[in-house]
Amino acid sequence: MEKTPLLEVKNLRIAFDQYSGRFSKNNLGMIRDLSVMVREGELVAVVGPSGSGKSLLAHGILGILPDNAEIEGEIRFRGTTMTQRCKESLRGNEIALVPQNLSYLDPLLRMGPQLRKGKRDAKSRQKTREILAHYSLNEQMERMYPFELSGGMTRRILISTALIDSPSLVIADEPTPGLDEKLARRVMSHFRAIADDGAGILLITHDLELALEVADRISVIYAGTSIEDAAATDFLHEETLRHPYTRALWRAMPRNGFRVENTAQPCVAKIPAGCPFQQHCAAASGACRREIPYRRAGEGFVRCIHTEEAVAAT
Amino acid sequence: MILEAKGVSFRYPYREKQILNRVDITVASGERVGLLAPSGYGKTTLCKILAGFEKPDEGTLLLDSQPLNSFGRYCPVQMIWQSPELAVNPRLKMHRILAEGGRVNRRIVKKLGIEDAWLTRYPAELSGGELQRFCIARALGEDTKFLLADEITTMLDLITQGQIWEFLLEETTLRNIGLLVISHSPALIGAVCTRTQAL
Repeated sequence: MEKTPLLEVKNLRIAFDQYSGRFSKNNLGMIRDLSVMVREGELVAVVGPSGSGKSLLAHGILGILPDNAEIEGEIRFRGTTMTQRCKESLRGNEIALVPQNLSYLDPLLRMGPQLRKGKRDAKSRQKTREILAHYSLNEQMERMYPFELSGGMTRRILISTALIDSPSLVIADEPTPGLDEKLARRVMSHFRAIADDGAGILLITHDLELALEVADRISVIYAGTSIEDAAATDFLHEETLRHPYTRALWRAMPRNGFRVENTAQPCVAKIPAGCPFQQHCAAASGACRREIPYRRAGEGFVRCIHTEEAVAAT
Repeated sequence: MILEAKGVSFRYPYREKQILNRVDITVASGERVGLLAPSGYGKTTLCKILAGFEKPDEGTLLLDSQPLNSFGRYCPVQMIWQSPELAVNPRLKMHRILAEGGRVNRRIVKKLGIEDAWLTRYPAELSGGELQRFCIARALGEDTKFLLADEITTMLDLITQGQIWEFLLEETTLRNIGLLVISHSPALIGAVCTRTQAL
């Protein structure tokens, strides 16, 4: 049975207005065409190079983009389209964010009250102690301010603030930097456990290897565009991946040879029409400069006109 | 040149925990030392001390047998921070943040993949990985002799990580800069460092 979709993002576009000089204004399309879906009980990892728009996706879903941002496209939560008001009432309750930025903590609030979000009852206190213990943080931590914690401790506090209540959708934006392998694994298995209890997890990460251990599906974005959505099992072999960038990513994994290839994203103002990856692709042709649909391929989706040939060849 | 910390102890004011207890560490020019310790053991604190941001309670810091604070306005030991968003002034545009590093060679800016269009943006308008490239460039001013890299690529995807380390290795070899590398990734430490030390 197909599980019900919890979060659906379709053809999302996010652009920024930027003033260049006193009277001229640019419109920079940072996210150009992004689609991703999270079902109940599913853990979906979003991977992509630095600056491809991963964090903007999270901010767009939660409605916390800066004022000069324009957002188009469709975001649905449990089937209903999310308006800004709807986002504001859902975030913090139904939808929790694990922010990437360590500066999201209130610098003037001790960790205990910060974790409990102002609640003082015995049950919240109990929950605080449990979650701190789960992440190997001691009780003294509750009395500390953010500046007194190390990077790895702050990271764990950020994760705890999101997971302490039981949200139905968790958006985790790079939750593991600064953590050693053991702690990072513990965070990942916690996400997995929450998903197994029926919540949806959108895990934004650059750590493909770690994501593959827990994720159901991987959604790859490049230069603000969704280029591939594949089952985690497709990442076992290079041949089952469909997009040339995803394959380059696979080859860059330490266990697959750590090969670094030039895959630099085009500058935002100069992204070519059609496939954003065409300048690095050996198979690129004139047809790659036309608009390319995000098509169903196997269990997932891909945005590449060469896919059928590639799949047929293997 | 040799960067030397001898018997360094440190405790944050009003805190019981002795973060560093008689720590000795030496890094020579051209050497790349990996510093290993779990989260919360004072790796960042040690970097802050070596770069002159904190004063140790005890112990001495020497660069070529001279006290580290005798080197004038530009500290030859520069640190790249773990969280770039906390290491830049949010009210300055990127070209001014870059200028904080003194004379930064144009080649470095190009090699790190910093686009000209980014220079006129504010930090909030860049991604974490893009900001970190500015922080790396800023730390590589002309007079930098030692570089302390505190988890500088954990926020980056593998391909970008590889590119940045490839650049750093090339640059530090070229200028004979000593590196202290902090990372939780054994694969990275193994690929980059010439030796390791536990804290």
